[in-house]
Amino acid sequence: MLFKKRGTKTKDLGNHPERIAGLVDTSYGRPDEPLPSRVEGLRAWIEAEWQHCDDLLLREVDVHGTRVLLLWIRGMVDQARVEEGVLNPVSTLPKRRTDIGHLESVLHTVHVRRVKTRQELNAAVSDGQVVLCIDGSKEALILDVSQPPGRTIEKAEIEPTILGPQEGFVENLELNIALLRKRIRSPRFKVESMRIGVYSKTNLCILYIEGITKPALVEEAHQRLRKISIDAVNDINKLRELISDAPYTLFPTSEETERPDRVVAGLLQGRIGFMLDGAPTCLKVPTQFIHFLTAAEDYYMHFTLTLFIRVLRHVAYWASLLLPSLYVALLSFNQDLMPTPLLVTVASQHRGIPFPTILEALLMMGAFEVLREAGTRLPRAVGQSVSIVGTLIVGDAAVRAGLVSPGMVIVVAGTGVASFALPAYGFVNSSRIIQFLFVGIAGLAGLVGIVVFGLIIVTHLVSLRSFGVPYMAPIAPFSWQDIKDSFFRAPWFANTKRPGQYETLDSVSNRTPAPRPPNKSHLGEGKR
Amino acid sequence: MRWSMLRKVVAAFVVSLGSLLLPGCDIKEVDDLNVVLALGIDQTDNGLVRVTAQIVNPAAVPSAGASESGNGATGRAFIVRVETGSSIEEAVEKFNQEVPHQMYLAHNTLVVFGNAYAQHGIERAFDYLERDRYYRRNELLVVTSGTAEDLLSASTIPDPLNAMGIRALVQQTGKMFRIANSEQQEVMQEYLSPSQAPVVSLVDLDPANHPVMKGVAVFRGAKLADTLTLDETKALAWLLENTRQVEIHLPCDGRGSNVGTTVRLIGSNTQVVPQFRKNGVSFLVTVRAEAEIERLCPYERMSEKTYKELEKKTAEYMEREIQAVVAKLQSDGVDASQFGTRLFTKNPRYWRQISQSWPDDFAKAQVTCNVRVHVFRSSLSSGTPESTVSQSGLAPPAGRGVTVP
Repeated sequence: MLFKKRGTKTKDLGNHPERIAGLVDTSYGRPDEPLPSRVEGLRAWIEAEWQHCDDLLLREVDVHGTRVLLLWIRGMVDQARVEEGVLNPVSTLPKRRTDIGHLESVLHTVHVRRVKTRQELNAAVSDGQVVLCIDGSKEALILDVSQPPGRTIEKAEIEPTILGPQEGFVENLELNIALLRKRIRSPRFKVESMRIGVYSKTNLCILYIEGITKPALVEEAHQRLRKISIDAVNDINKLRELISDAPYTLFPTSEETERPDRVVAGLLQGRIGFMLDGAPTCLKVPTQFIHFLTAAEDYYMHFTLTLFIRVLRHVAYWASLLLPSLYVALLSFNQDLMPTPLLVTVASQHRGIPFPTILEALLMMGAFEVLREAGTRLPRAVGQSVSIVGTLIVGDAAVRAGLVSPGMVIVVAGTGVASFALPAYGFVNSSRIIQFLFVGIAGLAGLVGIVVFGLIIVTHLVSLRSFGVPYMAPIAPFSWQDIKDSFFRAPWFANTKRPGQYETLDSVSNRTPAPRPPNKSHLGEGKR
Repeated sequence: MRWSMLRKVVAAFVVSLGSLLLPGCDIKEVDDLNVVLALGIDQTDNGLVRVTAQIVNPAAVPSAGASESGNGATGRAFIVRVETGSSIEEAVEKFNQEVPHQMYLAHNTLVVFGNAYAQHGIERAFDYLERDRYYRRNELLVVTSGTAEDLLSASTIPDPLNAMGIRALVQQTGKMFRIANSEQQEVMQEYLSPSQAPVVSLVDLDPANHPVMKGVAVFRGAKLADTLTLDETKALAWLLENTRQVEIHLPCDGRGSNVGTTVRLIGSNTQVVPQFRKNGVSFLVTVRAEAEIERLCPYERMSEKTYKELEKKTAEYMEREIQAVVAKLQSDGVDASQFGTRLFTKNPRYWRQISQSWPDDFAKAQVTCNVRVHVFRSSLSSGTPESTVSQSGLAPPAGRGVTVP
């Protein structure tokens, strides 16, 4: 055996089960209890439950002798609406004696609903709503005046386009859903809401279109979501990792987008979307390999242009994966496969470089990745100067100092530019890692290694599934109908079916006849 | 449990990676290679083989970026090293003891045979060149009447690399007729064909020490028999295959005799039909060519008659040249015209009967030529300037000699 078996861990006294039991969320898993009818009892319970929560505001109002308790969280509510819609009407009630039904009818300027249990009350307060409790009632009123802090809708920054809509999602779930509803004005567009996260209780929406999406797909989504029991789900990537089909693969099996128009397009294909409160992106499943090489812009320009751009993008993808490794393999193993003039040029360039090609490649690629990372992490103003210093000055100086060959700089820069040409950021990141693996293999076994590793990658890609749909779908289980929107985009009038791999209930998406202008002269019959 | 599994996998990966790395594999860095571009093969007086290797000198290869760095031009773009051995492979092997870095033969593009070696037979090189895994079948074989070493040391300005320059030189002629472009696979094919007469291009040095395409060398079997000049090579090409863009210079009668006229054959098509007769075999060579006028005799006017005459003169010239080269080959006893191969493809059974006596039969074979040239355009002008000049200021005659009133 190479490694000794590890001894059992020393007992960690800090992790004693009883100690933990005292700290875990007490409301979770405990049966829900009804609210007390007296305000004193309620107030005592709330003060105990929300102890040390100084952002909670408790306000007791005396309405003609009846005690009314108001509570909300500062900053989560619209202060003006609390004044106008809640406090003013309550304090100017004309009637001497009041009850909950009367209050509900008086407070009509805001959305009102009733709750009966303590957990519902907690949830409402956390959501930034005003809770109104009145003496003598076992119910509380929830007044929706929430206005959680957040930014307004801005231009999509991760997936920018020149043509087409520019809106991008923000961190506010309701606003995001409204952006989608604006585009599908139909009751068939379903938004199923649920809460996930033991502490965070984040609002999650499952989006699909009834009558198009396969019901089993929605059911599968429900099943996967039901299993989630984690402290908090604040980000779409957390959700993605928790419900992923192939958790260990480098290739993403779900698509993340910040553009409402892309989400709508996906929903109309028969896919489903997940949106989380606080995440400015939507997760689309099932997702195929081909989706990562399509951009929103492809649908906003003429289909002939799309053909050119998409072919270019596919070339760029494979270049970003293979370019450095092919260079290494050609220079260290397979010199006979280069044209003679190229070999002569390369040999004269590489003369006097102290590193073998593989090391040179890893060095330059590592430097490039570090620069890329520095450019993203630094404040924007500094980031630009970093990229200028890195690319222009360091690169040029390294060539002049004879540490790297100019050819290698070109190849690494070309790889970087090729990866910048790809529209899906998460996908590009996976290709950055695979590119290193390819270079390593090329340094060990040359072109043969690249071919073998490429076959392994292809086999892996073919074996992947996303929510039961083959990852390479229109290509690997080949379908001519679906290939119409892959390497090229057929014109809209020719694209009549939804992708077959999603097994949609209604497979026809387009019943428009192809445009056939009459072959008649505007001058009259027979005249030209 | 899973953690230890992962560690096992990682350990296995590291071990396999190390085992791959430690022996160094067959990794050969590009800077540890001597890129051999040409091999010259000469015969020494005592019967040994002297191999000249032309190696790229990466320090002096001119490139677009080199002028900036200032360390270029430290000598020639190639190095020439010589080794002697009892065989080519032995001499090539010796380079590894005398020249730093490994000899890399995969990019060899030229093999030059010196006159002495060629006369003793180049078949000694064939097996090695065909068998060794580094050589490509498309390397160019060339014969020189001096030594290969001299040819490979000559300057081929503007091409900095001698081998590339010589190859370009041969290929420029090869564009007109393939026979000049003697790549290894074609030479081998000719060597193995029934005629057994390989044709290898002949490159010599001129007095200024520059390589010049001189024509072709014809081999009897694998032994050098004779050389043909470029004009004779053209005639040989008309006997063998289709040609294109071949220029023909013809003398003029009368006033322009010192200048002559030139016709460019845009393309020619050759068909050779063996005819079996009682008294032996004869060959009917049919050549059809299309041509344009490159230059007209001075004072000549453009007319239908001019075209017809030019066509006739060109055809006669070609026929004469073809007959001359056939006579030369017959006297040398080399069937470079591939008549034997034509006979074999036409009638293999008959060929097998006469193949033993073919050298004698070939020397006696009758060749009938049927050449027809169609001059179909006059390029950009019609009449010559001398014929259209008019001191009285008349308008020049238009088109085919019709004077405009």
